[in-house]
Amino acid sequence: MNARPETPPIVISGQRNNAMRLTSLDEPATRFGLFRGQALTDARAICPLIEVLTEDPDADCLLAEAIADWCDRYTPLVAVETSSALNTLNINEYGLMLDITGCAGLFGGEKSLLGDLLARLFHQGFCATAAIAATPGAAWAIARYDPAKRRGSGTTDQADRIDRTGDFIISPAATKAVLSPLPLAALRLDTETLSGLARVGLRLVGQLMARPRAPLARRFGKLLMLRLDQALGAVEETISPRLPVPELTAERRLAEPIGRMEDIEFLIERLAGHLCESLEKRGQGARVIDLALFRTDGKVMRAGVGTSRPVREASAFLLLFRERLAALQEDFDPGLGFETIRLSVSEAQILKEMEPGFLSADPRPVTDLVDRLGARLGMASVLRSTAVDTHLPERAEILLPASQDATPQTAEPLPGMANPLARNHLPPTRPLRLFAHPEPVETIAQIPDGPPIRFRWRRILHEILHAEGPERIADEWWARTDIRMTRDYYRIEDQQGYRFWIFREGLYGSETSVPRWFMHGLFA
Amino acid sequence: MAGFAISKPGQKSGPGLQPGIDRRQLVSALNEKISKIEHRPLRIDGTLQQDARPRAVSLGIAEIDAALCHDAGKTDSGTLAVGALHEVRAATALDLAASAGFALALGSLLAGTGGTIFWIAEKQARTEAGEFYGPGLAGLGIDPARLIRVFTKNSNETLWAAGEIAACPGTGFCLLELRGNPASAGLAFSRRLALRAQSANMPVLLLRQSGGEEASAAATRWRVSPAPSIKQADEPARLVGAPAWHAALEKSRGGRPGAWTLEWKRDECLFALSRGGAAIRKARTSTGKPSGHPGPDGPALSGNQPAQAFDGPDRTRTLGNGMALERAS
Repeated sequence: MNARPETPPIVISGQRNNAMRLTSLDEPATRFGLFRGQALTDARAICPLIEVLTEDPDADCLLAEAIADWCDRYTPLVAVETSSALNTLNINEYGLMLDITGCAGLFGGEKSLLGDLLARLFHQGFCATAAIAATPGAAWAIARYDPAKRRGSGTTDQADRIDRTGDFIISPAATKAVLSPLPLAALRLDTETLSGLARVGLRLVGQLMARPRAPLARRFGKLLMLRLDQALGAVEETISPRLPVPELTAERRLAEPIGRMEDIEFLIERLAGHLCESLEKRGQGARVIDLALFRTDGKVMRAGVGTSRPVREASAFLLLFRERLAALQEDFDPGLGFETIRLSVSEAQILKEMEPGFLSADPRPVTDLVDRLGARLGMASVLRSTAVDTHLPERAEILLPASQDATPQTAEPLPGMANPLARNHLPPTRPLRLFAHPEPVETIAQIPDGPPIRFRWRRILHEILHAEGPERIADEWWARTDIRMTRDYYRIEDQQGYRFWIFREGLYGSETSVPRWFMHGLFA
Repeated sequence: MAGFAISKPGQKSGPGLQPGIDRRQLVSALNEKISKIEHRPLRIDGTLQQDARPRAVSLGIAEIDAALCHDAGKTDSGTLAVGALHEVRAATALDLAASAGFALALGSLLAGTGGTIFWIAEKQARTEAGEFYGPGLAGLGIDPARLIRVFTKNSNETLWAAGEIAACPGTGFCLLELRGNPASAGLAFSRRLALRAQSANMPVLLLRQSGGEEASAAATRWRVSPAPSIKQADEPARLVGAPAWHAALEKSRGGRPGAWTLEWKRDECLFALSRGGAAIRKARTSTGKPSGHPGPDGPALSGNQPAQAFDGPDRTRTLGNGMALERAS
């Protein structure tokens, strides 16, 4: 933003303690002597020209996530860290932490990785500072409070920045020396601790390092020493990546961006071929596969597919992604093209090579079909029911994605029935179709706790011929705290032969004085 | 099944050819012919794939089998095509559960009791008629674990999913639930489904909620409403008995329409005429009033016709009397 010519200084304002204050400002604004935390009225008095924008924390968060997504090209371990407690204004300051252990070699060394990252971000319109150090704490400190004091010095142009990336790469041996002259705020300490340290005359990290540890820890808490140790590498610190780390990854960087679906499919198949080779060496098959397409303008498109059995054929990968990408339809926007394409296996399983059964039919066509349907319609739209041991009708089965368990279960006895599939000639006791939300019905009953003689449902009056019941189903008081009223279910047949499952909610007299009736299901 | 009389295959070949090779060629050529006639895929080595499933089944009730198939000699080999599209129609919303039950029963009859059942439904159809309920399915003799529910958001997805499932061998059957007569699921779509069902030899059942009659490629179209349930003599406590349906055969390719009251014997996986009597010609409509006799060539039932879907194909209208005007001069 500092390269904009002919524009007034921009400041972002937000309400803090009943006053509008500057929460953030650009380079030209600092030259007028404006600073963060200043009242907006003061800023306007100093510089009437300023353009004031209202802060939007949600948009900030989205932007940080989007940049983090983009940074995925360098390493799978990217974390977004926020630090609102570290400043008085309670602003969420976002930073990205990349664990590039073992990744730098792919980009021609740490220096060219850092240069590439900064140059690309610069071309997207971001002015970023970055540092590479042996510990997350040290990198954090140097990126923000760099030793050369060039931060905020105004007209740093990009060429200069790239040339001097060397300054921002701190070798493990030099960490202590580089950190010493930095202010204590570089140790990620909150404002309260910082002011306390300032009162005893400690302002620089070096001063803190020279002091005996025990009195400091006693006075300022364990966190101070922990932060110091983390920065110096005495205590291991891990970053929490935003995405789970895939088991296997194959990617292709392209000299020319691609946008046609045919090209993307071709590359998916090639990458899938590489993954399948690795999977074969491990004796595994993929269960969850993720595709990431990095667009030239920094946007990242992600799509994932799941399979119901471990898969190790490149063609099967392609078939699933074809459906998945077709389902995106208008959401699929190649823009100016994709420059990097990555395929990763997030979940793998041991793949047992099995001979197709001699007598039983090959189940693979059906499981493949389930996967294809799931890829196109979403895993949550292709479901299989599993019986649950409960008396509550609406909880007697739960729907799970069919791909989770592809093998048809053996017939288990369902609750309330000895074995429903066993041969007997009894009529069914449960309806064929159940309403997810029971529908209220108006009834006329002879006695309050008896079955109705006629009822009106969906504006049609039904005269009841037979009523069978009640089947009393009380809520599970042993399992839940919000207990519903007891239900009395009746199987009902009307004069035309329609068969319903209706219930009265609430026991007359003890639970309610006006029981209500509901339609819960229809018998075949 | 097609029978071929092969008399002395050696005669066709020239004397110079080796008889072994010639015989193989002839058999594979015949196999190819059979595969074209019977729509059975060929294996790589040229032999016919053995079908676990018959091409057609018989309903097991002589009267209905006769109505389904004019040709009395063919009733032995089955009257209902397995690899075909069959439509089951619920005229009103109240008939939904009965017609769903009938469709499942018909699917079980056609596909046998094994294999996965796919049920495709849109959100609207599911709120109207409720979801299939596992314990209720078990009551019809269908293992709930066999049913895979495919929920779609729009008709495009529904039609795509139906096409994919209909093309997949090894599936039990596919139940496609539609609401009304959507324009996208017209004749061309039903034709495509029917062809896929034929090539995979898999029954595809179209369950139409509150829809009108519509020209389609379905082999049969049934209209189903519930009949008074069947009481168990040995179970006097059960007032509401086993399901029974009024099933009206509205359309049958190569057959004639008719109406019967059927019950489902879940253990034998068979339909049976309801014990109330033989064919109940006086099929009731949804309002309970008796309607006219089904004519041999007209539509089986008139009665409470539901409102036509406004975006569906137009029904042919009966023409009134025309009047020709003479020129005045």
